[in-house]
Amino acid sequence: MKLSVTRKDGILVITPKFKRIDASVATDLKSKLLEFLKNGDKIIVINLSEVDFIDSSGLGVLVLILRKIGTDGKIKLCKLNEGVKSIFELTRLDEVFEIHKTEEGALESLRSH
Amino acid sequence: MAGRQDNLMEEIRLTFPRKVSYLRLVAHISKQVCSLIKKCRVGENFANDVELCMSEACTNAIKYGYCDETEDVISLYFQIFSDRLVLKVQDKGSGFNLNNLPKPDINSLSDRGYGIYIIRSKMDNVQYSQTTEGNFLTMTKFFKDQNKA
Repeated sequence: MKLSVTRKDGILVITPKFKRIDASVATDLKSKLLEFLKNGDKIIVINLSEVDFIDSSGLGVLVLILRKIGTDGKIKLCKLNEGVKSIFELTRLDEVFEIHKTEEGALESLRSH
Repeated sequence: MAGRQDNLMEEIRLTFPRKVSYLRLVAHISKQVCSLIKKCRVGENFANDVELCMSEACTNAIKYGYCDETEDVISLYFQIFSDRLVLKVQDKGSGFNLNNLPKPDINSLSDRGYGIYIIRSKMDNVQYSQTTEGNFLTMTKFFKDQNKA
């Protein structure tokens, strides 16, 4: 499981470099994201542009990270393809996560805070 | 005529070890099964829903289906009827009560409970039974409802 990790204006941008987020990668993904939080990164953009499938295991990881960040930080999602976006809408998690069409849009919303 | 509607046209069975690493194989086979019935009015949305629900159902069976390691396999049945696809996921674990599962609570940022909710949303009928042969989660999706989601 590979993640691309960059830092832009102090904001951590994480891009999963795989197509599917299901139970076969959820545990590893959760460990890596929790490691970032443990190291003090709490302003995060997750770019899902390369993900074309997510199920409840993947959603669970993202919700857990959002809950762990709490009010101490912010997490934004960006570049969801239509299939992935539809799962967020179905579960109403699009009301919980701030979702941007572009990475720049997500970064800009964090810079302005 | 009603009897003809109930005729099972094809059945594909798969038994695999209870490991999450097999979920990709399940996804691949789910898509292949849908490609077999594509000529019967099902489209990409139908195939995506089947792939998603099989992933959810198998994940549940792999993670929660077993109380010991002696019955370490999951069995899948794809049953193609003239008007619907019936998906069965069999495990031999302790099982659960489908009707007692809470809806996911997004207000409390619950990270669990989305799987069965997704299955119920995407499928036309969902049933769960516990038999001497094991637990069966049975999901039905009609071809005519392909554009419902």
